[in-house]
Amino acid sequence: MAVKKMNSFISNSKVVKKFIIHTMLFSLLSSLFLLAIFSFAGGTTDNYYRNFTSSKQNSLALGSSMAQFGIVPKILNPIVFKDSEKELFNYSFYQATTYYGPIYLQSSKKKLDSNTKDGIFILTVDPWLLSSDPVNPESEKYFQENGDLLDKMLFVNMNPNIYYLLFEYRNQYINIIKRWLDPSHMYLHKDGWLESDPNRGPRSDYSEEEKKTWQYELYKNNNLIDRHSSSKLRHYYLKETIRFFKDHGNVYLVRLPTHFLMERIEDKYDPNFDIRLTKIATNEDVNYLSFRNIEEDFQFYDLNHLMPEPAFEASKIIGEWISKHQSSKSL
Amino acid sequence: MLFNSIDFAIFLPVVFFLYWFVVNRNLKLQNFFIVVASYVFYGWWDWRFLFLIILSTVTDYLVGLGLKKYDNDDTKRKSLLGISLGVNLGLLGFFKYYNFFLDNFAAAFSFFGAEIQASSLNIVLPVGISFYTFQTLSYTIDIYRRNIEPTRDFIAFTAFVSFFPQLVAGPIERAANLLPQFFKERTFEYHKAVDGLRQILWGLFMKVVIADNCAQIVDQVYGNSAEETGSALFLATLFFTFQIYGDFAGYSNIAIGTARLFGFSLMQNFAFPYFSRDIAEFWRRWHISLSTWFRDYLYIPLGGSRTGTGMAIRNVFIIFIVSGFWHGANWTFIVWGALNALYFLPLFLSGRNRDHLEIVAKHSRLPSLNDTLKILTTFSITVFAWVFFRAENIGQAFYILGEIFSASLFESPGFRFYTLGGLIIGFMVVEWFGRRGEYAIEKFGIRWPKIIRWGFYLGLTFLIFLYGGQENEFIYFQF
Repeated sequence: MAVKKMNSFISNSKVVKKFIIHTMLFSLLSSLFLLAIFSFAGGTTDNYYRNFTSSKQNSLALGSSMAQFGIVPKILNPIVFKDSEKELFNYSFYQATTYYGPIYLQSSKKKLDSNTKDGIFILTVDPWLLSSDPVNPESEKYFQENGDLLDKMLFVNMNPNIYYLLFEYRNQYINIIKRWLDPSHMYLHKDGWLESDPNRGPRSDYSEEEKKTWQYELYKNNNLIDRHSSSKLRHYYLKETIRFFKDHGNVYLVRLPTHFLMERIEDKYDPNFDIRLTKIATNEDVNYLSFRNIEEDFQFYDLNHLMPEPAFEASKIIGEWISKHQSSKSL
Repeated sequence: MLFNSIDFAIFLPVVFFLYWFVVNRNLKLQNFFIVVASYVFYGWWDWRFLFLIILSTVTDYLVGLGLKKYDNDDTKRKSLLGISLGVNLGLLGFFKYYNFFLDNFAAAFSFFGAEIQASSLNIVLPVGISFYTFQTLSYTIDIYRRNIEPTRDFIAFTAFVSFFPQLVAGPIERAANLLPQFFKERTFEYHKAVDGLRQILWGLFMKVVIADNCAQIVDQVYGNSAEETGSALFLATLFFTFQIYGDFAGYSNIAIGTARLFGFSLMQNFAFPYFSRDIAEFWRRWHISLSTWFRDYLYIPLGGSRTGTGMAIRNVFIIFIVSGFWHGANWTFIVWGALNALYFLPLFLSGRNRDHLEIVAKHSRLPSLNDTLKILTTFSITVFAWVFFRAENIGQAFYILGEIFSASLFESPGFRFYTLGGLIIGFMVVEWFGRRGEYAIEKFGIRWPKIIRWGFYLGLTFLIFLYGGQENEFIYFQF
């Protein structure tokens, strides 16, 4: 009986093994399809994918979508790095929660080449990036980025980034091919800069003033201010981020330009922002540039995001400012 | 975890490997492993839900034994059955219907001028509760009726209740069918396992390619119904017809196919319902496990059709309305059920509700003209009823119907639908040619050379990948 059972077990196992081998072969062939689809992934896929496909970097720009639109590495590089082959990578994110906190810091650490000693790190700041949940602003447990994209992205330097495409890409895979064939109005460059075609985006048929008014009303009606509260904990993490990157090079704080209607909202929410950041910069021995002090007429898609040409101009200003501080440091 | 998720794609092969290579030498161990795997599967949503399923399992296990012990004491047997009904229907009633009854109670009072403050509870509906409570109830009721004997094997019983392929969205199995399978040694059969994989593949195609693509348009149009044209609303309703079929029948196919991988046979839950020639046939082919459950445990105890015409009509309405209400705590489901009762009654009263027992055009390639007209008529009235099933409330349902039957039916819908339309046509063609099997591709291409057959399966897989990438829940999880 025991022998019969054992024989049955062995025969059963052989059949199962045959089944597994055939299934694995089918799965392998199927995987080739998936890889073929993934081969179309790139700058047209979405506004995040390419941020996770570059190798580890030695210079980074951090921030929200404002920075992703507004900081153009190809403009900054020749000014800041001159003849060096070094390049800045824009590790900012559109519509992802890039508040200064442990998650963004951890993700940025993964993105950085830890051997870097003389990198350039541009940390863009605004009142919202240093704010949190209005009821519990000082509790990490209530940080909005918990469980969000950067929290879940285990691998940020993989090309192709299969992990992102399998676990975080939030669209049908057919759209990877569709967008490759017929790109949308946004394109994420290899250096992390997000370029948008103003003639093709949403509300592209609005006039400039209509777009601004629309968004101003949107922020007002959605109580943008009521949904945020300045957070000391976020400020702490900003300092931690500064200190971390100072070990790898030079850190620069930048407050990017916004439309005057947005300035109005920000000033109502946090009127002492510039004063406070200047103090932080002084205490941390870094430089702070606020575009509030720059007389320049920038153009925006909406209240926050610079159009391409103005973004080039802003990046040039940042580059020259950094270059000036680099020169004075070396004297 | 969802069937159409990476988590399940990792979970299934691991469980399969352990089941057939590690724990298969001992039946009890294998059953215990099924329990563990099933609880992991279920707890993946929310581990707190496990307490409810354990409560239901333990209650009905003990009730089953008690019914046997007090075999000669009718009073005690009735009490024990009452406990089982109370616990299971109580759980279902609380988690699913508490807020509905509270809100309607308050609304009724205010209608008569007496305002009462009723604060709804923020109750999370445990996934699958409508399914496993019915499954365990069928066990205790069948023991009470002396149709089956209770089991002393607690592990086997727990495995029967929690069996992960069918735990969260059916088929609702009967103890007489599924429980004995936990007492028999399972031998791996290559062709059954391959058949199981094939059924899983078809189920995924139905869910990912058909249902989820339809859902995009349906959600958009129904979510904005006040701004949409009659043509858009009509198309969205038509797409919902295929969404709910693709979603639910797709899930059942995946469940049945997965069970086959482990040596289990589950009942067929959908038998090509959209090829039905009348509404009675439709209800013999749609969600078979639920409709037969209601027939056996509600309709027949109420007297069925043996109590005179008036009572029979009452019983028909009760069955369909309760069936509608089972789907959700909303008047729309009740109206949907009542509408189907109205559809069914003429056939029932004229004795023609069993006219079409075999699949249409069983011995021919195409249906006759008469059958085609019948299929189209049955399909049309089913689509009409789905409006109530999908709408948020009765008002929206009537609004949508009003727009569909208005001049705006002839305006442009405002979205492109030809690709989806083409996919649905292709899908229904395969369903048509596969209608004699348990699922559409059971025998599809079975005589083709292996390379062509594999090419077809790879083609389906490619389409699943193309339209995959999002993990959309199955509609019936909300029930």
